[in-house]
This record gives sequence, C-alpha cells and structure tokens, in this order.
Amino acid sequence: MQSLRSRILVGMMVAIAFLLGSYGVVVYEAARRAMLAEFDTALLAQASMLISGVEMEFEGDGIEIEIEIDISRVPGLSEKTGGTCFQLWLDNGKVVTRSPGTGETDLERFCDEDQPVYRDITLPDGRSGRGVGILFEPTMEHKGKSVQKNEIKIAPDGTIIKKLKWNQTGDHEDDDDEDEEEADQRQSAPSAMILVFARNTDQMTEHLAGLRWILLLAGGAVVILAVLLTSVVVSRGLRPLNTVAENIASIGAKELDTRIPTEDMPTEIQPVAVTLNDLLERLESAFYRERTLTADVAHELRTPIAGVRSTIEVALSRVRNPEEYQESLTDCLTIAAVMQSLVENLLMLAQLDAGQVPSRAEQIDLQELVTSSFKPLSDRAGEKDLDLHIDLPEGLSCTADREILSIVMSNLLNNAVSYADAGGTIEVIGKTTDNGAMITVANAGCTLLADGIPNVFDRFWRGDKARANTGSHCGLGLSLVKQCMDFLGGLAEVEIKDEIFSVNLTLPADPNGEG
Amino acid sequence: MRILLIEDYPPLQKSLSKGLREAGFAVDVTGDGNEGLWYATGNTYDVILLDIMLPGMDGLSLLKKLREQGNQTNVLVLTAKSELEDRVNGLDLGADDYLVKPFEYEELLARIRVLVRREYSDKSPVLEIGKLKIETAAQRVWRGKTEIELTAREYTLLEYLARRTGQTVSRNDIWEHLYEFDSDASSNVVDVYVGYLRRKLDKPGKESMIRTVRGRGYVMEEGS
Repeated sequence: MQSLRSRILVGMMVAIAFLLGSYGVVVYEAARRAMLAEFDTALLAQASMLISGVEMEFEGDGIEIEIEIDISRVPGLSEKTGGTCFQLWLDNGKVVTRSPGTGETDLERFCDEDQPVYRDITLPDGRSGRGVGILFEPTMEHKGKSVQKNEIKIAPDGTIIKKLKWNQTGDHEDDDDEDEEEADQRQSAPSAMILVFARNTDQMTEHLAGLRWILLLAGGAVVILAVLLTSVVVSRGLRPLNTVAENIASIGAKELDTRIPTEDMPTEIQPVAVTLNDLLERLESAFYRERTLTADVAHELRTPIAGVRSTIEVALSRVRNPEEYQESLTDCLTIAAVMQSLVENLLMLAQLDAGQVPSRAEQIDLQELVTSSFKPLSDRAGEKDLDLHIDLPEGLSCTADREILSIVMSNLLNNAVSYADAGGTIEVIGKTTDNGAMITVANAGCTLLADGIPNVFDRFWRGDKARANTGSHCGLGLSLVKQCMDFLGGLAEVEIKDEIFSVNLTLPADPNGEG
Repeated sequence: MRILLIEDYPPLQKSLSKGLREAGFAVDVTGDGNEGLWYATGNTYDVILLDIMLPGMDGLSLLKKLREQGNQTNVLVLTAKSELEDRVNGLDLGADDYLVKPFEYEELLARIRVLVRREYSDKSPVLEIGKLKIETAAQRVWRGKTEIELTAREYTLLEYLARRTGQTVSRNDIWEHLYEFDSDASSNVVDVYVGYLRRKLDKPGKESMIRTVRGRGYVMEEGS
C-alpha cells in the first residue's frame, strides 16, 4: 500500500473497529450480566415464595410435608407450556412434587449447602432456560395427628395443596442393600428439601440478541462514519504535503532557484521542506558550476579547433610545397597537444572531483621529482633563457601519490616557464617543517595584482596579460594544482610580491619522520 | 583590400593572416585590444576582423570606442561564445557581422567579400566593365570568353579600381589598400602593378582601360 492516505484510513478503520468491538463486547457483557443478575434475583424471589409455602410437620414417628403454593402468583407456573416450572425433592432424592410445566420429565437436580445455585438448563419443553437450585429446611411444625397418605389438593384459586406423610420407615428400597450405618442415617427423617425452579430465558435471549444487533449496527455505522471523517480530515491534513509535492513537481532543471515556502507549513513537514530546500540549493550550485564549466570547456575548445581548422583550410586552399605543408602540420600538432592537455586536465579534475583517483602513497625524493618534472620543459626554458634554481635540503622527501604530486610539480614549473620574464630564474625552494615538507615555486615577471589571488585557482581563469604572453595555456593548471593538493591532504597557496609569483606547497606529514 | 585582424590566439593569427594575404588582402595583425584600436583609428581598412576575448581591451569595448569615434569601418566579430546574448551584444554595439569559432575559412572569406561589396554602390558579385568581366567570389577575370590569369595582388588592384570605375584613385589610396601597415614597399610599386595589369588586360595597340591622370593617380574606364 503506497498511499499515505489509504494507510492512515485503513489503520484508523482497523483501530476504530477494534476499539468499538472491544467496547461493544464489554457493553454487551455488562448488559448480559445485569440482565442475568436481575433474572436470577427474580428467579430467587419466586423460588423463595415457593419455599415459603412448604411446611414440614413431625407427627409422632412420621413427618408430614405440607406444600401450599399459590401457583397463580407465579406467571406461567400453572400452565404446561408457561415456560416456568419447578420440582421439589427431599434431600434423599425423592421427588416430592413438580409443577405442570415439567410434564413427565425430571428437572435436573442441583444445589449447594450454602447458597442458591444458578444454572442454565434445558427446560422439559426443549426450550433453554435458567434455574435456581436451593437446599432448604422447611418450616417445622409439630402436630398431634398424622397423615397416612399423600394427598395433593388443588385449591379453587389454583393453589396446589399437597400433603405428604413421611414415615420414619420411609420407602428407600433402592438403598436396602447398603451397609448398616448409611441405612441408619437414611432411616432418619429428612430435614432438608431441594427446590429447583426454572424459567425459560427466551425473553432475555431476545433482549440480548436485540442489544447485539444494536451494538453491531451502531458500531458499523460509527466505523463507516469514522472512516469518512478520517478521510476528510486526512485529506485536509495531507494538503500541505500535496502542495509540497506540486511545488517540487514544478521544479525543472531551469527553475532550481525556486524554494518551497515553509512559513505556513505544518511542523511535521517543515523539516522535509527545509531539507529539500537545502538539496535544491546544492543542486542549483552544482548545476550552475556544471553549466559554467560546460560553457567554459566549449569556449576553450572552440578556439583551438578554430585554429586547427583555419590552419588546415588555409593550407589546403592552394597547392603548396612540402615545407609549407610541414609547417601547417606542425602548427596543428602543437594545437592538438594543447587540446589534449586541456582534455586530460579536465578529466583529471573531474576524477578528483568525483574521488575516483586511487591513491598509492609512496616515499618520494623531492629533488628527483623536481628534476624529472622540469626535464620536458627544459627546451622551452632554454628558448627563453630561463635558469632553474633548486634549493632543497639534502634528502628532502615526502610520502604521497607520485603521479598526483608530479602533476602538481609539472603544472607549476610549466606555468613558471610560460610566465617568467625571459632571462629570469625559476626558483624551487624547499624546507622541512614540523608537519612535513614545504616547497615554493617562484618566478619573476608576474603582472598580476595581489587582488587577483582569490581567482587564480578558478577553472579557466587567466590573468589578462598572461594569455597574451603564451596563448598555449588552458587556464586549468593552477586549479588542477589546488585540487591535487587537496586530494593529497596538502595545501597550495599563492603569493605575489614585487612581481614575483610564488606558489607554496605544504606537503602532508612524512609518517616515517625522515627528511 | 586592407584588413585588420585583431586576434590573440597565435595559430589563428598565423593561419588567417597567411590565408587572407594569399587571397590578395593586405592584412595588419595584432593580438592586443589597445593596439588594435590604435591600428583601427590610425588607418583605413575595408574590414576589421575582431575577436572578443582579448588582452588589453576586450573586443566589444574596442568596437564601442571605435563607433563612438565615428569610425564606420566594417567589423566582423569572431567569437568563441555562441550564446545569443553575446552575438546580440556584438551586433548591437555596431558590428556588421559575426562568426562563431570554429568557422569555415571559406565562409569567412565570403563574408569579408560581402562586407567589402557593401562599401560600394554596386552590390553585384560580378563586375562588368566593357568586355571585361570580374567574378569577385571566385576572383576570376574574363575578357570576352578568354580567362585572364592574375596574381592575387594584381586581382586586388583590379577589383579596387573596377569598384571605382570612372573615379580617379590616388596612388596613396591604392597603396594603402594593397599593402600592410608595416610593409616597406615603396609607393611606386603601385605603378609597377598597374603596368602588369595593363599588359594582361589591354589588347596591344588599343587604348588602356587604366588611364593615368597626371599628378593625381589612375582611373578605370570602359575603354574598348
């Protein structure tokens, strides 16, 4: 599920359904218990009324039980299908009497010595019901006369009047074979009786079912309403997010200067917007750099290409002697070499920018590095009658990537040879510092002013006059030097004093502590 | 035709000046903006080829100064910047045309020829004087159906005179259009070249197309 909105909706729906469900179950259970308690109370009250109509009389050696129950006072008791019934037992299990509702079936007998027992039972007519079982001692009365036979009368007002004569030698035939002790006990007159009074629970079940339906329907309605409401609220709540999305969607490569307004934004989204704005800013500057660089590269390549092109076209414009062709080819070769170095420098810069240059640090003898870097330049230096003066302490060395450091040195010496006044001196002075080594490459003949220093490391930047002097520089040398020194963890600084242009290189510390 | 080339990139300087000279132009070359302005104000040129990125003074400032001085010389801007803004800037400052580097040498020549033609009332690339026909684009000259072979310098002289048919042109004017600023050729070299031209153009025994106006110079006439 990708949509935040549907996630929230589904989450809310599940949560609300769960909460409402739990709440409904609790309410239902509470209602059921309350109804049950009420039912049980009524059951007990009616049972108690029945019990109050049961009397026991001692008559000499017998007991007479007199039951006088006004069954009309208990609704449904007098009818066979009234849904209400009772059954009365002696505590020895002998059925004393039962209501018409029981039919011919015995009710389940249950009781407890201390308290009434309630139990869900199936009524004789098959309906489910609930009954209370009570163990009780009927009211005792001593009478002089005994009743010889059981008699049940039903009074005109519906009262069942049953008289039961109980002989001490009562008929307990089923237990005759048991041992003497028990037989003795049972010989004694029963002192307690058991009443199970039951009523069907249809009405309560109906009520509960009604309640269930109400809870389910209300719950369902609430869930649906909650989902609708949540959907509206979520939509409104997520609107700022949509706005942000629209804002972002409208930003193309050409509108990178736009920012997402954050003033009226909810605090939760603000950090996202702020981060996005930061990203936009970085993108913008990266794009700007890229664009400027591309334009610069295009510009810098156009000029030499124009040179090659016009050299070749002029050469081809008529038939010439071999010497003239040779000269044109040599000119083209020179231009190609400059273009090659431009492209290579650019590539190197791009690789350094992207951190794609592997570093292989090794011990480098700086004297040897300077000498070997100067060798390819010695012809040009000779033409300008330049003198290279190297002043390095014996065995001055450093640990760095040889290839990168020689790019640095070659570029600096190349610059010096190009820009130094003819007949001058290029000085390479080195010294040991606490942190490593330091080398200065200096040449006289600088026409730059000190306020141009911040620009010298910029790509394609050239001092105005500088270009006139050489025409063969691409304006990448110093920026490559800086980038390389950054890569090596060193430092490159430019100093201009009394028309002397010097670059100070601070080389990273030598881990071996030599030199 | 005399051209001032203000371009600081040595290979372009070298190849363009060589090519233009071979095409019969007199070419003054400089790589510095200030120097370029000095050349342009001190001499008469048919066309100035102007680079934008220049040491000393950039090309656009140079152009602005030149126009402020009332100099109406045709200026063709050579630029490595292809952005519309740069081109519009150049044209707005009074450049007559521009070319973006790298350009085709042939196109440069063609555009120079257009600018040269613009100076004269006749914009046609083919000049016809009597039976003489000059195709300025191909730099070929015909008399009737016979082609006349001319050297570059002879051709330049012919075209210069032909463009001004009926006008008397002074030796000095001719010299200035034929030779570069630092040329050490003397002014009577003009007479020598006029002599070469007459020999090639005129039929023996007939009156010359190029008539000498005593004390003033030469004039080209339809003649025979």
